[in-house]
Amino acid sequence: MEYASTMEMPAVFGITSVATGTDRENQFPLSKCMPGEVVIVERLKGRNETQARLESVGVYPGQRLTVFRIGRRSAMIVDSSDMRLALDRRLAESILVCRCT
Amino acid sequence: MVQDRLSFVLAGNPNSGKTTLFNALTGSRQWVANYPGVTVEKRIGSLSAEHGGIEVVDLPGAYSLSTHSLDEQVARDYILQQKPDLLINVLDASNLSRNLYLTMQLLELGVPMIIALNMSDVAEQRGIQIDAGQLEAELKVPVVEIVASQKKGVKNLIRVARETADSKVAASPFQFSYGEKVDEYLENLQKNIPAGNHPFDMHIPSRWWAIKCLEEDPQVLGMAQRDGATGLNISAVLHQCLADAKQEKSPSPARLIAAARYSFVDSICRKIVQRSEDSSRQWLDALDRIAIHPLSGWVVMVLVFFGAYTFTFSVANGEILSWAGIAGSPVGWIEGFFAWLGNVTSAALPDGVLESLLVNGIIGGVGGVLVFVPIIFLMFFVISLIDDSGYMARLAYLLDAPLRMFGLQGKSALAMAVSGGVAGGCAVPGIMATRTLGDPRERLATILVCPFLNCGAKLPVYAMLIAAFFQKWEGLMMLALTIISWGFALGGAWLLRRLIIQGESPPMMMELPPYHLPTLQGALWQAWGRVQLYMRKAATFILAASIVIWVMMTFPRLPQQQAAQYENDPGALAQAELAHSAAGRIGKALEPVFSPLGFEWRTNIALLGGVAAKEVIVSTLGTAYSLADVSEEESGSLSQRLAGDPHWTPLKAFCLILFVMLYAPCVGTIAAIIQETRSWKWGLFSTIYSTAFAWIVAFVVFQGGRLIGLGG
Repeated sequence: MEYASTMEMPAVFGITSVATGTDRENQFPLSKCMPGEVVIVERLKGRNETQARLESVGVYPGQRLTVFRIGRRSAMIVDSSDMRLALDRRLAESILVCRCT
Repeated sequence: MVQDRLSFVLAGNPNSGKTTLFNALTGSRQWVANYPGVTVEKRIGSLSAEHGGIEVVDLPGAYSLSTHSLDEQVARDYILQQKPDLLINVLDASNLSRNLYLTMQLLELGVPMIIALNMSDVAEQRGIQIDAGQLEAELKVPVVEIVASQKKGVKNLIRVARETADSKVAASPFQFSYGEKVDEYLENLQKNIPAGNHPFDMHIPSRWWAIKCLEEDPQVLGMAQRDGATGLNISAVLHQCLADAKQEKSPSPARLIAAARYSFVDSICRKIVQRSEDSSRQWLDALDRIAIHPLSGWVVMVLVFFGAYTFTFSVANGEILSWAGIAGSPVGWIEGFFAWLGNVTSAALPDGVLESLLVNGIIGGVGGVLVFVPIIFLMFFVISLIDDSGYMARLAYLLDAPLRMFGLQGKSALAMAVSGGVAGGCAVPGIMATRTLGDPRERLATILVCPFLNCGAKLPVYAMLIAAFFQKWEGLMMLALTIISWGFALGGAWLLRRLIIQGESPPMMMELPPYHLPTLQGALWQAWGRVQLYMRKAATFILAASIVIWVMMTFPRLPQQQAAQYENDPGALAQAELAHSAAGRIGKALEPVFSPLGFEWRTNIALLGGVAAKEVIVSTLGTAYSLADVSEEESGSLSQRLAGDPHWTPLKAFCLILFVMLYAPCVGTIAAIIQETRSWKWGLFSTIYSTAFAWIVAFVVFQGGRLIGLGG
């Protein structure tokens, strides 16, 4: 078998910081969502390390999240693609989302 | 890597079925070690001779090749430094998009690689169809579909792996465009990282190092800084790139790289993944509504804890085996073996120092620690089943909020329950169970408070003292002691996190994997791995410690003339020998320190002996109170003796219970602390701080009790 070693990225990701072009006024932290709500990640805030950590588990701009559960004091649970994630409230604060239309 | 045979490495996301595949590939030809300098477990094995005996290493699960966790750091360092002949990237077919994010990064390393597309059965159940052939065409590496839990496709995987490793065709790095701007940054950085240049001399393409620099990877930037000229150049280019991005109001290069990767992954998934209705989702949601509900979740958790605990101790102590008509118990068999070995040795050697060293020091000491092997094996077997089923993550989620108040995390609860949170556990497997805790500070705090809980070895001491002084409130006392030990453990953790192990805990981010049936073989191998680690420790550190304690309780010997006075009274002879020994002298020397707690020299000796193993307290007290050879089962007679002794009062007994609960851990536990923290310092700290803590608590209770007229 022979394999090529060069590949082009099929779609260059936008240079803007948002995934859907939603105005910043319509963005809100994931922590403010209600159970059952479906949202799209617009931006990640916080330290480089925190953002990289979120990206590595599949939370990145453009990704659709469904809120499964919000505990009063505990972390919130969201469904992202095919995985279920428990996120600390502090982390949820750093994920800016917009409502899915 | 200098070696004669090929080496395959399994890499993939957590919960991708990597370890299940490792078990399927290696069977019984596997063992566990630690990666150098850390306590992340290294699972090594080999393929059968039929398949060339190739070495297989199961790397810790990683979501990316960044270093967000110790596991990820270890996985990355291993690939960079060991340069395996082949990477087998295990992908969870039911969660392809996120798994491919790591694949992209692995491909860029230029290490020969194949993909094991695992759990296609689960993907099918969830209405996901994947075109493996198309995935192979897109990524240009071989893709083999497997179901590791059923060993389906494993032989084919081995065949493809050997072909790929032999041909080395995939060794050229996968070059991926991150867009014009980022590619330009990468080229600028690459000019400063010539391939093979120190410190980047690990045969990894310079583009990979450039990507890591642009991602501002702290470890890679640190490496660059250590090499003056390279570091300065890289730093200058990096600052220029970041300044450019800022000026253009663009996201940082690190964000653009991640976005480009996901963009590419999404484009692949659109081509190769077909979805139909996912009926399993309803089941997952229904189960999770129960398992993580604030009320039903706690009921389920108590039932799981109770079940795990009951199973472990019922099997270890033989109760379940007796239903099957099997006499005895695993713990009893090991005790019996060491008793037999002691008797045989005793019979074969003349009475004297050598016989005493072998029988009481080595066989008694090491045997006393190895009796925990069945408990450790069973406990980790159950933990592995819970973990593999997907429930462990729910349990950690449920307990996270309450435990964070004390500076711990959800997973700390399991380690604490195993340690004796449910009375009768053992701190050694509890401390080993803290390996599942990601944050090193929370892990250390958990390790240091686990010994406060009521392990099985403390129970004979409690039972003896309760029988002597609190017989009317026996049940209530045991319940109270369980609550008190939890209170001290949580309070201790709170204090440690505020005074010694300071620092903010990282925010919790945890995958809750889908539920599935664990494999029996996998759980057995996991448990056996832990037992291997424990037995290695028993053969080294514990053996040495047992000899030291024996020496202290044996020497100097009682002069012949004095011993002759007790010729007809073995109990008095044992007491006199103990008093004359170094341990006895220390006990007497310690009287000024411990008399404010109500303890006299004989109690001090017993506490000193208790450092070897807490059960020894009962037998040493028996010797010190002239009962010759007192076993745990015969502690009733000691209870009567203490109840009738004018020096003893219920207040003193209660203070001794509290002191035993809190003071220095036993040798086995200290060894576990040293092994798990990889530092003598923490073993020593645990011994000193817990003894000081125990002294303060016993002093306050004793003196306070005297003040309010509870005797003394």
